[in-house]
Amino acid sequence: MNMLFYIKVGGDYACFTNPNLKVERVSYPLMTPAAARGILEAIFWKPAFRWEIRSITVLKPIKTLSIMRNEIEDRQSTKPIIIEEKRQQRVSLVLKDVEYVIAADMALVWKNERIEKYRDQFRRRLDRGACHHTPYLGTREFAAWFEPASGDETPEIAIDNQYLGVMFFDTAYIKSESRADMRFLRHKPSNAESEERLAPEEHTGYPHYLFFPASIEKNQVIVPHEKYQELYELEELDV
Amino acid sequence: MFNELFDLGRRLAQEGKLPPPGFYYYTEPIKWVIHFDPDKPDQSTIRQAEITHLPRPYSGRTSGTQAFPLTDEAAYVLGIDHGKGKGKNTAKKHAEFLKLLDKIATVDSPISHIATGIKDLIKSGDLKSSPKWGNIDSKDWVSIQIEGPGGDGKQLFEHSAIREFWIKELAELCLPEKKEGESKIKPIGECGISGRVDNPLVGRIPLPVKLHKPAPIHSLNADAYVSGMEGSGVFKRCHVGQSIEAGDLIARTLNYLGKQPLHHKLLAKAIEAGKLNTDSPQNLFAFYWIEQPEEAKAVVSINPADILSKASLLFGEGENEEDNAEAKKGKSNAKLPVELSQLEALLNTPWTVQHQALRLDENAFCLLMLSPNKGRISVREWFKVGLGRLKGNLKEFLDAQRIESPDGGSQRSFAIQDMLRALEEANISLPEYKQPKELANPNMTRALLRCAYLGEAPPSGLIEPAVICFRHPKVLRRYEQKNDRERFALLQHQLAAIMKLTLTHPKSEVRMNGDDHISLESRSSAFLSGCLLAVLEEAQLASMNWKINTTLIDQFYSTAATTPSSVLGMLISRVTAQHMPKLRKNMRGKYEKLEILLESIQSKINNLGGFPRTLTLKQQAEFSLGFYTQRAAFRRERPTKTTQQPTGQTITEQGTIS
Repeated sequence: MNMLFYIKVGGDYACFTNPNLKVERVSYPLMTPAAARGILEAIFWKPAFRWEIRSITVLKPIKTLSIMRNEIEDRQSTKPIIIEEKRQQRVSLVLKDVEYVIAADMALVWKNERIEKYRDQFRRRLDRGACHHTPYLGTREFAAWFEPASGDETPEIAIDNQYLGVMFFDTAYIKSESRADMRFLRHKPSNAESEERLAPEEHTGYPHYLFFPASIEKNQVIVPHEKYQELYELEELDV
Repeated sequence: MFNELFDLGRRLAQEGKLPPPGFYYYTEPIKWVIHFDPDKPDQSTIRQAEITHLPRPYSGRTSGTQAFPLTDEAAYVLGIDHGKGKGKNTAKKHAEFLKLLDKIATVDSPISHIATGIKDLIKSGDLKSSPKWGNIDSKDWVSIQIEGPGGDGKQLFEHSAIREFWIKELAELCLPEKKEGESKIKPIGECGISGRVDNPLVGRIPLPVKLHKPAPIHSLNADAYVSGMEGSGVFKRCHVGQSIEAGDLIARTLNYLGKQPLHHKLLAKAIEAGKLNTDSPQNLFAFYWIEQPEEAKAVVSINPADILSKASLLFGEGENEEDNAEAKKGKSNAKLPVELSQLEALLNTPWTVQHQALRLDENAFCLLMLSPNKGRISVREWFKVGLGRLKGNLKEFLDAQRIESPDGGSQRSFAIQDMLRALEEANISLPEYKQPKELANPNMTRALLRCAYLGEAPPSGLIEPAVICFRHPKVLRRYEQKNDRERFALLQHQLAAIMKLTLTHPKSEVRMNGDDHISLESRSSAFLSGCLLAVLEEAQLASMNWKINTTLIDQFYSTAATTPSSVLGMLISRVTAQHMPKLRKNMRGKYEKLEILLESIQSKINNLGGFPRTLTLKQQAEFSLGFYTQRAAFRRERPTKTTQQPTGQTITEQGTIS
């Protein structure tokens, strides 16, 4: 049985970077499903379930702001970075003053678990505003607030019908020995008989990016459910 | 943004306005053409030519040796090693070209046998007997044309088979780099622009977008951007999730727009120490077009080209290469403000769609602003607005800033760059000997464009410099000096327009903080105080028969504009004691008029609670506007000094002849 959660999130700024322009960042006009999943996982996440975003409702007019910031040109690692040597000025076209209602569902990955307990845990955390780490709107510097949606949220401006083009959906981490671009962990459910906790498995593979044609209809972007099936097939998950 | 550019690109490609995929317009001409007859290859000749209008294959080649199909530099095609660029890997270049011919020959296409024939011809060395052989430089471009029964007078690289071959070859060339000893991996994924899944994704888009100089729209030069990669390895192997078709189409579309005056304008230039910094994000390029659904094309009552040309008048003059050339020659760059009457006329005509099922807003005005940033390109602004909304927003913008001239002449509005240039010119921190910046502040430009096209609030940072500049003696006093009158009248006019815009634009943050939507005159004691100061100045001037150069404004304007209660009372008593009696005696009509005006303004101020003690920035702008409009009203009615010329002509110095 699907029981959707409705979560209202917002913030002063947001940057849901279009991967085609990730150096001089340009944000998508609204939150991507992956960014919405990131917010929910910041509030509550367990390896036993996956978040599936069903829809994202835009409550405030889409406004952008161009800013220039100092960024570093390299990735951070164990070796310290000397900022003066690695500094770069980059421009970002970010969103200003955003508010969304995310409709999401939990999909069970570990079949021997009960989804209800996770639903209750999430509901309690949402009600008291608890989170594992501060949720953010696309990038860490743009922190988000969140609260349960009351159901009577009215958009400030009506966006009737607008095709947004191809939008980033989510990342599938695919196991592969021949393309070992990265390593990632796959958690395993505890042993059913002994209830012994098993260590997560480390896999090599590569990330694969999925996109979907997005359009706003009556202020809402509907996320195609079949995309999640595609993602689970790529990740070889039985959800 | 990409979606709209992609759609536009497809539309332009269908209309035949774009070069083929993977092709580019070079500046160097094709200087030599090999006339190849497949039936009689021994009769093939090489002739001189000058072909510049044809787009040629492009791969972003810089220092490498990468051949193009059936047209390239002579070092590649013929292995020529003399003249400009001689000796730079000529043998390798020539071998690459022959290898490419082999590749074309193996592809199942109508020209595969021709490719073999050409290779044989080149290898045979028959062309060396041509009398012009010695004149060919290694850097000269050479092309091949078919003669005889199969010849159609076209260059071979124009053949559709070569176009298809080249885009596939380009996709191969642009795969993510490989490590030594490893084979290239063809990452298959979804293209982030077109959504297609059947094409391999590429590591780079070879075709750059030309702003001041060509630069890629997506940079892959640094190791920092590895998140979001898909492809083998990590460092310098990330790619952009784009297929070559989509990325190339967008670059070709932007290059096309960049060449069309109707679709492109340079809004800001980064001049540093007198030189143009082509890499600075201070440079601002605007690209704009109208997006129309197929079914709406024929039924819109307004010509989209008309909308584009007239709506872009709001940007201001912009810049073009001729201006740059003139600037280099040291010519003055003083510009007259852009006349917006054509835009106003367009806004006053109805914009409709003839078909009831369609809405005007389904046609949209798209604006993209790009800046270079250290060899990359950054997007500074992107918006799309329906034509119905656009029309309303433009009208609001023009109405909000429309104001009469300082001498009470006709009302007018100003283009964005003209307003911002006025702020720069009136800038008090700029020494008089220094020239103001040529083009306006890019951040303010973008904010004002959003105000004009999207109907957003005008930037709040505009009001402060406008108020400060307006009250500066440089602007207020210089107006009175005859030699600079026109220039400073225009400056005052533009500054007043800026203040009026920030105070009266429907979505102005300044205004929204105020109490209501009633006109300034009836709600603002600051505005009325400004009017009062203008009346007092007029009384002083009239009593002296307009024969003084320094008025109470020179001494008291700044104080009155910030703390009216501290000086206005004293000024009223001084004027009523010293100047009004003179007026009553000499100019009874003027005296009565000013007396009534003084009383009415004072009573309105009393009703609003008396003279304000101190004025906020917004109130100071209101004060300045009150002063400006009242002064303009006096100037409109002012009797003019007339001098009788020997010819009997009457010269009017200012105002109307009474």
